[in-house]
Amino acid sequence: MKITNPKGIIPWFLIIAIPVSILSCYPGGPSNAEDMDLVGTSHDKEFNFSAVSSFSLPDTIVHMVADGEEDELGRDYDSLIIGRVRDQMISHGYNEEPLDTLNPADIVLLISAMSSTNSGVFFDPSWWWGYWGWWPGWGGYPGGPVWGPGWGMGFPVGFPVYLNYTTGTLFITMVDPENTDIDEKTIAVTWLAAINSLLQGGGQYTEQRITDNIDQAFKQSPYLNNNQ
Amino acid sequence: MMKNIGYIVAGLSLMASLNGTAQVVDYYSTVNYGISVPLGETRDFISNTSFRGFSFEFGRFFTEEISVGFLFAWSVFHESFPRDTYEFEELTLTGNVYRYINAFPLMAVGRYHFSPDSKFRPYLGLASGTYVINKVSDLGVHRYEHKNWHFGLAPEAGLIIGIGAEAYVNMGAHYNHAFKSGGDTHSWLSIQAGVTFIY
Repeated sequence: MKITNPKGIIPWFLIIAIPVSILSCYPGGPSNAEDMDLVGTSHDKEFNFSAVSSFSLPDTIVHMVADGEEDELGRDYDSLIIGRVRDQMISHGYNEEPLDTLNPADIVLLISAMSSTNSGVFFDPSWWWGYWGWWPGWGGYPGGPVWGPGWGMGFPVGFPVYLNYTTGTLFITMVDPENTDIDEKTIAVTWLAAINSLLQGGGQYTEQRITDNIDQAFKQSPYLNNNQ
Repeated sequence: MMKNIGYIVAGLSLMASLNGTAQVVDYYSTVNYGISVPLGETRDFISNTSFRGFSFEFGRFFTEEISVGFLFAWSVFHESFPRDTYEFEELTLTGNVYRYINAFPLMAVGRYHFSPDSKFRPYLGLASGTYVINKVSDLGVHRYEHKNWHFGLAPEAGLIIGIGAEAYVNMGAHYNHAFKSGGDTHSWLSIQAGVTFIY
């Protein structure tokens, strides 16, 4: 059978058909929300984590919500998150001390969360006072009562994370309240973990993801160890 | 780059005029499906063979042996890496990594066709022009994208087999080399099959 090609139209049909076929089988990326989970950690390399013996862990998770925006994060998993961070710190050799402004712990762990649908750099340390300044535990640290508006967290390294999609991010921030910079109005951050994932899923599946990701943050930070 | 394409087109036209054979004014169109095997630095980034690619060409025969045309192609390379921990200078990240390369050659191509009177017509060719290459790494929900324009060359060899008055099956292979741009050099071998219409 002879194939004819009146006015050369067959190639033009194929020009459309072949790319469309290829587009339809464009390689897939992540297939579920878990595949998008990301655990990032960073630390102050000058800080001696084995010299720390005690920590305090405020019994709340602060949701960082910009003015005029709604808080999209629930509180169903707050106790799971706080409990897992506490368990990990204890298993790494640190002693939890209850809130006592007369005998404050060496370091404080602040857990914060935010959701975002925007792109851009987040985690501006200057936000810190606005979200955590209320905590009564600061009263026991030198200079604590005079910390005021404009104070933030000083961190020796950048921690930019670029957001897309609707994501939730959990920050576990370890601060050294006795290491402050009056001029810069900062309190030293010694360790930071950011767990970023899509706000999807639920129930048992989400609990497992939260647990696994908190465990991973500690696992990839081997310097967090005071076990003698 | 356009200057180079101009030289190629002018050179092939000159060859055609000096050839002494009768001038022909046939045009051709080709559509190919392509498989691409990454090489060199491209393979270091993604080692998987790409089964997602096509090319389109439109051109003209100046003699029965010599043709000059323009081609556009698209190849997609992809590789997934399971959840792992990556150490950067001051940051440790754990997550799944998905890498993609989208390569778009936009080139002029000249060919010499052997055995013009035969049903089986082998050819040798050289394409020259630009590659637009978009290199992407997805880590979690974060995307790191690196897009560059490269000058490149693609020598090729192939065969067209007549199956009708104007229709031919085309089979060929070409080596793509995108010269260094933005710190990246890319190369891959494409094996293509498709149809060519000469009219």
